[in-house]
Amino acid sequence: VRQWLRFGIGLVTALVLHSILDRLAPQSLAIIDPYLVLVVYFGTAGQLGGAIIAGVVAGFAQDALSGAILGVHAFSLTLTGYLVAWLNSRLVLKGTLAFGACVFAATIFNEVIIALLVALLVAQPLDLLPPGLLWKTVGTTILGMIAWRTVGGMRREQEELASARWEGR
Amino acid sequence: MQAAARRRPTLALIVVLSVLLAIMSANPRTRVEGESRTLLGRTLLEIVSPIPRAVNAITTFSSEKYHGYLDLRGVVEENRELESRVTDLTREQQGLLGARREVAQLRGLLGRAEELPAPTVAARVVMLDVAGSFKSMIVDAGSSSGVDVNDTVLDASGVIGRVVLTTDQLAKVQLLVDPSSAIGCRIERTRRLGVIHGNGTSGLDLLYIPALGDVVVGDRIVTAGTDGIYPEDIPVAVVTDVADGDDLFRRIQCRPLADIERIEQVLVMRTRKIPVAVERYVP
Repeated sequence: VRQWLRFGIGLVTALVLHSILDRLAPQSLAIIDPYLVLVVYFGTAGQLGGAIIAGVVAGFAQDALSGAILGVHAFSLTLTGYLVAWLNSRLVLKGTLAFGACVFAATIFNEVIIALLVALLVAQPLDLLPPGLLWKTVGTTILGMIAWRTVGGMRREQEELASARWEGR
Repeated sequence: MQAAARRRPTLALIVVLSVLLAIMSANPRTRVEGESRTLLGRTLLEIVSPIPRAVNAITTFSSEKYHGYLDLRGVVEENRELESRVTDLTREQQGLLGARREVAQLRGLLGRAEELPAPTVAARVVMLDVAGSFKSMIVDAGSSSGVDVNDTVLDASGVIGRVVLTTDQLAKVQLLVDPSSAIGCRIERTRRLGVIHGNGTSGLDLLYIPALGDVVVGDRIVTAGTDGIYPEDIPVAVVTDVADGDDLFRRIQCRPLADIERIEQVLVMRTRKIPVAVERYVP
């Protein structure tokens, strides 16, 4: 229950951050993705089922406020969250740099999935490396590392959970 | 047993992704025809919309307080009586300047509203999403104000987009620069028909103008009224670049007439819709 409560707080924080940035600096949303950071953070616990639910919920929240086709972000974040959780159920990623690397790779993966979905659903030319991808990857990674450092207490608990799963195998 | 338990999350993932794909496939933007109202989309927007609305209210309030503080800071050493008067006058002047700006905006919208062929509703922009792959905005007029899906959204300069989703108090608008947006239009000077298409950035592409078609930089593009959504002769864009294309058509780039990133207030025009039965008729 505590884990989902934390996820709820994280989701509300992401929505508030999205709303504030949209109000003050709309273009900054092109370089950071708070929902992705939330899903990657949740995925680092290595729980596959939880990562799926987190991806669906965070993705639908993002879809509701953006102009995307309903389900696009839910699909990409679910897949990304699952992949991160799968990776973390086999490896124990510790430390800010490891989390940053995870967010970095997850951002690229997430954007590629979105590009594939857009090309598939609205018959647009496939553009896997759009011009803003690098900035978005760097921006989201920095945001993720800041968030990771900020929620230190929760981070330790996530690491313990991941370690316990690793030792129990 | 253990192998089955291990496979369970993967099966759950496959089921969830399949359901999401079905939801996306059912979305009208992935089809040529159909309406844009979905119960799920409307419900999700209802659930998450209090947060941006609250942030909107808080930032407006904080901004007003902050600017009030800045106004006062420069006059602390002045004579008390003079300080009070200066402060009052400064505040009054700022209020008047703000009011003048708002009056100018509203007058522009009202002037535009009087020229339009259908009834309009004025609305304020609550959220503007121009940074992502999809370009949209949310305005504070919904079905309770008579706003409906496919209503045209515009300001004094020209078309901004169309309504794709409504709740009681809000409406989501697909901007004309969205990559999946297309508007039937014509070149105002020559009356030649074409289709204007969002190119995913802040610009537009004018499609289907033949290689021998007469079009020059600066030509104004207006709606043609042929797509069943936008009424005719509403300004849309201006041509910024004309080049020879790879095939039979020219490659033409345009700039929207409306300054989309600075929009604060809009008009929603309650346009006459093509009946669903006609729209969906397939011989």
